[in-house]
Amino acid sequence: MSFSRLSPRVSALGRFLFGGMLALLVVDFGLRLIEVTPLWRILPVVQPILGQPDKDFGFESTPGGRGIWTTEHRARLQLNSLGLRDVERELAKPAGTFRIGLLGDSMVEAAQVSQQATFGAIAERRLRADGYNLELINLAIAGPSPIRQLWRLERRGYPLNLDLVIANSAASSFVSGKLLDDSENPAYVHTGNGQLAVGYGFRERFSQRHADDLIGRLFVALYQNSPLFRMLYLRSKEPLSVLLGLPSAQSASQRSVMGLPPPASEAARVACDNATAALEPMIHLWRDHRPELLWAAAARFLDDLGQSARTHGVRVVYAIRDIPLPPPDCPATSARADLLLAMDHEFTGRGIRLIDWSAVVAEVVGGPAEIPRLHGFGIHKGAGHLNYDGHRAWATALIRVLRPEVPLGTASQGSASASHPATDDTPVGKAAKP
Amino acid sequence: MVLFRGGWPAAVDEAAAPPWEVVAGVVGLFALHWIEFRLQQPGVLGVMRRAEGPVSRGFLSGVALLLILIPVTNVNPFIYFRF
Repeated sequence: MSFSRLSPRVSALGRFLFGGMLALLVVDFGLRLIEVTPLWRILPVVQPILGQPDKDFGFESTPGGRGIWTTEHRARLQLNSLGLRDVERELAKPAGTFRIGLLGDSMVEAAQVSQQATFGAIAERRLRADGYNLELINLAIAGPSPIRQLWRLERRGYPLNLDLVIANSAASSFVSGKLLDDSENPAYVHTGNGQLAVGYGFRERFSQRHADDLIGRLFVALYQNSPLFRMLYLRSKEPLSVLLGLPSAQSASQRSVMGLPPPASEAARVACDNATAALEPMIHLWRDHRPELLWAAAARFLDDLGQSARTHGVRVVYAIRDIPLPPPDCPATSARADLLLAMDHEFTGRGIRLIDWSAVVAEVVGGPAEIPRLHGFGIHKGAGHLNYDGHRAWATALIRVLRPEVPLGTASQGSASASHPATDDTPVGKAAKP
Repeated sequence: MVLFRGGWPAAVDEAAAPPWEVVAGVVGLFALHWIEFRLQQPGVLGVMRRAEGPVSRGFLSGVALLLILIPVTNVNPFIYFRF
């Protein structure tokens, strides 16, 4: 069709829209160019959405997905052909290899750093250098609900013929109510007769209802393959204040990081008060089994995890992080010990070994006061996901946890003195990338 | 003052940019200044006048709008790309 046959106004409008379409193509091309060249380090990029709606899981990662992660810190992201944030792995376990699956949330998925810099990859390299014939496979997927880890284990972990699973969850994820919230992924819902059943309320979401039709598939294809479409989609979900860049849009977490710390004289008391307040709901849940519904969900989750692992002949170690570490002489110290005793009773009773992860990490880095520097990047250092120092420290902690779990037969004789790669040997106290 | 008498510094971490990327980045930044200088020559005005029309207006409007929408995610205090 030629614009010259139309009235001048319609013709001008058509040409204007054509120019606009041209702009879309040029900007889309520009964004792609930035992603595939080193320009991604400094120029604006659009964060990838590495998954799609899934009727059983809520939101499942897409095998082969790739992109540049931009939240907190920039890193290249590449999912392998199994949909894991890991290097390529054979589905069939190599003979003589001890396979360990790392389950967890965004902290373990570690999108903020390169795959080689994740604590799982570092620990695998160090242990292999020590002669252990093992694979540490990262099965983690972002999301705060522990139940996602169980689903992930069943869908992605067991087909890999794992020998051991190490799960990692925040202590708060058990008290936040996420185990009972099926709006985004499967969860335990109250059936009314005092029983819990797995609920799939998320299937009512618009994206789920259209997951299998042409519109849904086209939408997913567009946001996964066009950075421009993805940008427009992500922008459309933001509140107006964020779009306009108003100061009120600044997140609470950012404000808290930028806030002044309490004076040194007050620091211990504030830390003690904070730890006491944070421990309270955890103690209610694990020791007193209150609130009832929350406890029923937590117990059901542990039952299901223990049963599932037993059925598949896999041992489970569960590392619970962020159980507050009170300063010395704080009365909450004994409360914490009580909590751990209660938790250990519940986990061990279901055949799961409990690890007090924050305590192990604190021991590695020289005390609880050192833990904040393992998190966050640049001006936001002190809070957030693990930075490079954090991954090195977690790798050391993971190795400490793993050594008694991995049978001696997987370490070849005479290789225990093998040296670690220089980059991994950097003491955790050394400066990380700003 | 940055000196490289002792050779290139060791990489900060596994994901750090290799030296050639740093050099290319610096050269690229100077190239941008050169392009900016070239675009300010009087001859460019003539080109723009010839291209003026609904298509170019639609194109420039679209580009301007999309540039505004590009997310600001770089927390580093780097002055050149504060879109």
